Amino acid sequence: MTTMADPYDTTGTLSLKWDPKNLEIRTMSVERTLEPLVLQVTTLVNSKDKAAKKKRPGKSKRASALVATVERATEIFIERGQTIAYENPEITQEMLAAVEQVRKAGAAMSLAAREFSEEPCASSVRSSMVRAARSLLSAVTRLLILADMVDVHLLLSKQRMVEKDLDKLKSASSQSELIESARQFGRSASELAAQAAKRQKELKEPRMKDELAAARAVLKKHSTMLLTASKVYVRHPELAAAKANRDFVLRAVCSAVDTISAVAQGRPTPNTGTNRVPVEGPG
Amino acid sequence: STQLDPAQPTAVQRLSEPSQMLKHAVVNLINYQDDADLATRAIPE
Repeated sequence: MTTMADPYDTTGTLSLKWDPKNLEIRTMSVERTLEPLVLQVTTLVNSKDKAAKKKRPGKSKRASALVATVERATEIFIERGQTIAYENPEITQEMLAAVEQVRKAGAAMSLAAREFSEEPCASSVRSSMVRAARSLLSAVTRLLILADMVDVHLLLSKQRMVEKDLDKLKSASSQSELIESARQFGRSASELAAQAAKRQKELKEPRMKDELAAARAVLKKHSTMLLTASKVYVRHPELAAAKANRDFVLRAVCSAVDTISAVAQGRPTPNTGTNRVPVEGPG
Repeated sequence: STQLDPAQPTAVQRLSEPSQMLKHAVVNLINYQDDADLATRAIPE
């Protein structure tokens, strides 16, 4: 993900504070998408860059067709951005504003590209296009970062569902209540694990990936154990060992959920960065 | 359960492809500039 000035408060509500000076790209999709664009703008500035010239020797094309392709590509990007915006009501306005910025920057780029295509050797026209490309890049970056925040927000909403189900499971006082809450927990935990898997694949930093993988493993491994330990506790609430056993598994699951949340938000993981369950303990 | 569902890409993944298209479009524009440079140099005095 990208970091901004703590985009999530403690309740998990999404608040957007755009600070382009304080951006750190954490996911591969964003990096993969942005890197070529950044390189592209650099190439535009350094017109004498030999590597860039060697990369793709001249291919004669009609300039108007090239401009049309840029316009079409911008249009598709805008359409996709709008779709995502409407799918996520909590961030619709911010995303639509970002889409609008892309549209404006795209229009300016289109204009500059048309002028450039008519006078490709005029350095002033070329400079105008470089400025337009930079502006378009900035707008595209913002939309990509908002999209990344949408992904994180989705992951955090799954996490809150799991926490709610865990609370129900913890307070279950009969076997039937326990079975029902365990079923709900199983469903929400599975959704959280799937979303965390996507995030794990996306993250750039190996340590963060490992933390997420470990947390997912704990979540999966301990879910069944949690049901078993809880069953024993509900049947024998008078046994201290049964309670200790259930609490131990519950702590491990909660710790895994906290880790997923922390990694998603780019915060240091709880328990000094390790999600490992203590070796010693009941069970 | 560790496999990803390709039918449900993340928001960023959905924007990734059109961004790449945009990149290629800009690359082609730059090549056009290279062509123009070449043509300028090739024209005899």
